[in-house]
Amino acid sequence: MNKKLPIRCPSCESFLKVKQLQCDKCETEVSGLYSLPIISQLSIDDQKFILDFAKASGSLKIMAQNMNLSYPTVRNKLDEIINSINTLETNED
Amino acid sequence: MKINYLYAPFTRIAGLKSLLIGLIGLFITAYLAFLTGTHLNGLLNLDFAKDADFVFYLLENLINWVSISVFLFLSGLLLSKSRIRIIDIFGTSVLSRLPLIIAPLIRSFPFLQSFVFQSWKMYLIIVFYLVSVIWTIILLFNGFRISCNLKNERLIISFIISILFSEIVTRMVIYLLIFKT
Repeated sequence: MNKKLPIRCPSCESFLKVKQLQCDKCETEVSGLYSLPIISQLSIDDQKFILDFAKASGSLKIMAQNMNLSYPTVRNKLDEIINSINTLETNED
Repeated sequence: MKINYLYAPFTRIAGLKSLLIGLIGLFITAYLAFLTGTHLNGLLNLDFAKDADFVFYLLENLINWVSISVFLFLSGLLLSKSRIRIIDIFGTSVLSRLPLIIAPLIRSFPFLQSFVFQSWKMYLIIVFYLVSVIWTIILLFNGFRISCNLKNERLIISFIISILFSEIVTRMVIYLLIFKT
């Protein structure tokens, strides 16, 4: 089963932070309070879009072909993601 | 992604593809308009007269399409934060004109080729024409929305202004053309 990384608090809807990290091999544990990277705070669909976009060498034309959508539809999706990233960055500051 | 091809095909079709399909549709519409004497001189104007060559009927359609596209493109340039492409605006707006084929098409039926002024036949053609215009406007709106990535009041107001200005320009250019010939 693919477990989904929870990014928002189920109680107050604030962004969650990472408290503990563990090495799978030697079981060393690191404790602290770390923010999730911005890309992890995006929706799963948006994360997938960014990965596909990188694989398509940043070409919206190739993305449009792969997704079987028109160029402006794909560009609008990218603009939406850029807006989400800008909002997240502003919230972090 | 759910796509409605009847009124929002531009999620899948835009750019060169829509330009080519739309241009073929525009030529067929103009040819049927020539055969049946149906003047589509503007988006909101319909006249009946077999009084010109095919080129004139073609020019009426071309002038209206170019004028709408230019105004929509200017609105997009002014208001959109996205990097818009001119080919998307011209492509989606020419494809949006496909429903306009309805009026000349139904006039090609023998019983609708001639009619008395203010008769039921005339009103029937007008009803079909109005349906085709509403359909075209919905398509134009969706094409503009996707091509320019505009939303809310910016989208609605700029669309209405663009259509109104393009109608004025279309009429002016067509009248100039009539007076020159």
